[in-house]
Amino acid sequence: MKLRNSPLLLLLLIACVPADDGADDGGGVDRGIVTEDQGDGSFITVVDARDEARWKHLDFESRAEVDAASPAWDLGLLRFNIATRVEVAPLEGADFDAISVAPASGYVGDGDDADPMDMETMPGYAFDLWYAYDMTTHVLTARDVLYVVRSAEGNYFKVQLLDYYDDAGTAGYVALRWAPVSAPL
Amino acid sequence: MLLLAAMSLTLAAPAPTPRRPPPRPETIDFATESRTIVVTAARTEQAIGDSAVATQVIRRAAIEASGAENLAELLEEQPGLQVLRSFGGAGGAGVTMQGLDPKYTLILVDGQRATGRINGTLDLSRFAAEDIEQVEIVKGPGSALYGSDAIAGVINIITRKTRRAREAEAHASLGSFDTQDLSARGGVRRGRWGAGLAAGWHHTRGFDRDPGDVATTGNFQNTLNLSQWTELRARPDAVVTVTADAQQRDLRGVDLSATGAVFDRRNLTRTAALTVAPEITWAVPARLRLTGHLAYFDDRYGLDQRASDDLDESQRTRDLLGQVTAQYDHMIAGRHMFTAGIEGQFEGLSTPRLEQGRGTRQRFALFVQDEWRPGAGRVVIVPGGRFDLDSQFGAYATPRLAVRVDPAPALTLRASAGLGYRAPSFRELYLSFANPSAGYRVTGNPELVPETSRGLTVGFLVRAAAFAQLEVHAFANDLRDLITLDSSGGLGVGQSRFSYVNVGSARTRGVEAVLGLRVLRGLAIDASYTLGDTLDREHRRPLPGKPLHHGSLRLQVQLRRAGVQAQARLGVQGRQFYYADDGDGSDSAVRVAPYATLDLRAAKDLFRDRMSLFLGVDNLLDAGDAMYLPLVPRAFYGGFTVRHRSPR
Repeated sequence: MKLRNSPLLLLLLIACVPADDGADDGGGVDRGIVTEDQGDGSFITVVDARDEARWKHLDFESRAEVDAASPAWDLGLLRFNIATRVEVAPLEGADFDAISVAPASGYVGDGDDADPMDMETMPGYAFDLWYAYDMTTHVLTARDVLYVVRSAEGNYFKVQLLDYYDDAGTAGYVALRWAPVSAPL
Repeated sequence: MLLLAAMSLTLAAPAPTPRRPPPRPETIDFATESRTIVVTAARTEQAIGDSAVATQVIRRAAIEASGAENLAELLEEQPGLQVLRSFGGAGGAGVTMQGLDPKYTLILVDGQRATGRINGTLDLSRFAAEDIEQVEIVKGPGSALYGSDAIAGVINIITRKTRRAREAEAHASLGSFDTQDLSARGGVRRGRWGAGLAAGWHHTRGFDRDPGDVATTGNFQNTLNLSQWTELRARPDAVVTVTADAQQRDLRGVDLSATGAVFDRRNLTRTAALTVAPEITWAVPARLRLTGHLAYFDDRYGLDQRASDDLDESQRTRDLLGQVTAQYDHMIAGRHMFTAGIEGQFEGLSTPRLEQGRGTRQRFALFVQDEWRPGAGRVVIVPGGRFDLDSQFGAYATPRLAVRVDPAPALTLRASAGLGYRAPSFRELYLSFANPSAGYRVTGNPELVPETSRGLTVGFLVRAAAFAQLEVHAFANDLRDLITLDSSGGLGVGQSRFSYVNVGSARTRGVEAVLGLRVLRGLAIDASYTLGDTLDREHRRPLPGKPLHHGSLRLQVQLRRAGVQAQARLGVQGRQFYYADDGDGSDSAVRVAPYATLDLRAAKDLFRDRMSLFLGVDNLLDAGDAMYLPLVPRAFYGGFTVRHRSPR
C-alpha cells in the first residue's frame, strides 16, 4: 500500500519555476555607432563592435556608421581590431587638448597583410597598439596614444581611444574621443 | 566462524542496510564502532572490524554530535578529507581524498551512483544530514567493484530507515547569515512492512568575504527536500525496498568580472531519484539482490548582467542516469564469500554547451570478488575485479587485491592494490563553448580515453585495550592520461582556444594517522595527521590546493547523567598553492598561508532524551578569504531536536 507513495513523490516537486525575466535594456541588440557631442568641440563615439564577423565603419565627417561600400569610411572596427584605409600619425603620450594642428609627417597606413582572421598579435594595423592586454585577466585597456587621422575626405581629426567595455562591463564596445584639428601648416 | 555468524546475521536482516545501533550517543566506544555494519568495501554487509579493506564510518550519533546540516559540513570534519568549495560559480562543495580532486572520488547513495557532477564536482552540500544514517568512506582504489571515478576512494551515503514500530523527529536550527534548517521525519514498522517519510527546508542568506566589491562569496540558498522509504517483505525470503527522493535547490549569488561586468547568478537545481531493490535469499549462504535505479538531475543556470543584457546567459542541463544491477553473494565452504554481479548503466545528458546539445552513453559491467579466509581466519585475501564495456571508450578492466592479516588480537595489517579509472565526462568529450567577453573558446575532444590510476594502500591498526587505537596507512597513487585543458593553437590576443587532451600525469603519496584515546570515562580524544605529497608531473609542481600537511584534533565530552555533550574540533591545513594563468603559457604560483578552523558545540538532552537543545559556533577563528579560501565565516547557531520513539 505504501508503495504507492513512491512515484507520487517524484512528481511533488515539479512546481512552478520562477522564470528569470532579466530584461534590462534590449539585450543582444546591435547598438550600432553612437556619437555624442561633448560641447567642447570634441565628440565621443561608441562603436558596438561585438560582432566577430562584421566590420563596423565609422565616418568622422558624418559622425555615424556608413556602409562598407561607402568611400567615406575612415575606421573599421571588429572586436578590438581597428582597420583604416586612410593614414594615421600615432603620437605617443600626446595630450588630447594640446593638439590643435595635425603633424606634417609620421603618417602610416595599414599593412597590406592586415587581416583580423590571421589572429596575430600584430596584424599590421596602423592602430594595432591602441590597447594593452592583461594576460592574467584578459582585459584590454586603452594605451595613452593620440592618433591623428587624415580622413578619406582629406580632413584631419585627433582620436583618443578610451575603452573597450561599456558601463555594464561588456567587451566589444570601443569608445573613442575625437575632434577635428587643422591641417598641417 | 565469525564470518558465518556475520553472514547469517546480515542475511536474516531484511534490508541491505545496517540495522545496528541505538541511535543515541555511543560515539565514544571503539568496540561498538568495530561492530558497526558497513557495506561499501565489499559490496556486502560486514562488521567494520572484519573488513579486509579499511573503512571509515560516520554513524548517526556522530552526525548528530557534529552539528553538520549537510554532507559537506560532515566530511569537512573527517580525518584525511578536505572539502573544497568552488570559487564563486555554482557554489559546489567537493571532497578531496588522498590528494586528489573531487572528480576522483565516487559518491554513492545507498550503493547507487549519484548524478549531477558539474565540472567534475558533485555538490556535497546537496545531501541533507537529516536523511543520512551513516556515511562510509573507503579510501584507495575502488574501481574493482564500482567502476569509473573510484580512484581516490568511494563515499557511500546510507540513508535513514525506520527501525522501530513508530518514530518521529523534528529538528530546527537557526544561525548566522539567516541560516534556517528545519526538518521532520516519521516512520512506522509493522510485521511485514515498514515505511518512512522525511522533509527538510534549508535556507541561508549567503555571505560576502570581500565587502569591498559587489560580488558575493557564499550563495544565498533555499533547499527543499523530500524522501520516502518503503520496505515490504513479500515472503519470508523476499524483500522489496523502494526509496524515492526529490530535491529543489535555489542558489543565488553575485559575480563580478574583470571587466567590471556584474552578474546576478542563479542555479535552480532539481533532482529526483527512485530505487527499487528486490532481494531474494535462498538457503542461508546465498542471496540475490536486484536493483533498478533511476536518477534525474535538472539544473537551470542563469546569469543576468546588470545594466545590460549583452552577456546574459541561460542554460539548462539535464542528466538522466539509469542503472540496473544484479548481485549474487554466496558463501562457499565457510571460507569463501563469493560475490558476482552485472551492471548496466545508461546516461543521457542534455546541455546547450555540448556540440550536439546532447549525449548518451551506455555501459555494461561485470564484477567478481572472493573474500577468502584461509586457515584460522587470521588472514583474509580478497581478489576482485571489474570489467567495463563503455559505448564511448570501449573496454576497461580494473583488478584489485586486498589482504588483511591479524597477527595478534590487538593488531591488524591491511594492504590493497588496484587499478582505477575515470571515464571522460560528456563535457570533456563534446563541449562547445565560447566566451567572447573573456576571449576564449573551449571544445571537447571525442578521442579522449579514460584517465587511469594505479593505487596502493598499506596500513595497520593497533589497539591498546579499550582506551587507545592507532590507525596508520600509507597511500600512493599514480595517475596517467589525465585530461587537461590545453591551448590548441593561439588565436591571438583575447582569442585563446582550448581543448581537452589526455596528457597529464600526476602522483600522490602520503601517510595518514588517526589516533583515538578514551583514557577518561566520558572523554574522547581523536587526533589525525595527513602528510600528502602531490606532484603534477607535467608542470613539475604540487597539485593545486593540496596542502602537504593537514591535521585535526577533536575533544568530546559526554556527561551521561547530566545529558550533556560538548565537542571542540580543531582543523589545521598547511600551506597550499594555486596557480594563476599568466596568459602567456606560464603560470605564477599563489601561496595560500596555513590556516586553522575551530568549531565548538554543546548539546543538552531533556525529557529522557525526547528533546535535545544545542548551541555551537563554526569557524570561531574566522579563517578564509574571498579569493582562495571561500570558507563560511564565523557562524553561530542554535536549535533543538524533538523525537518520539516507540520501544523496539
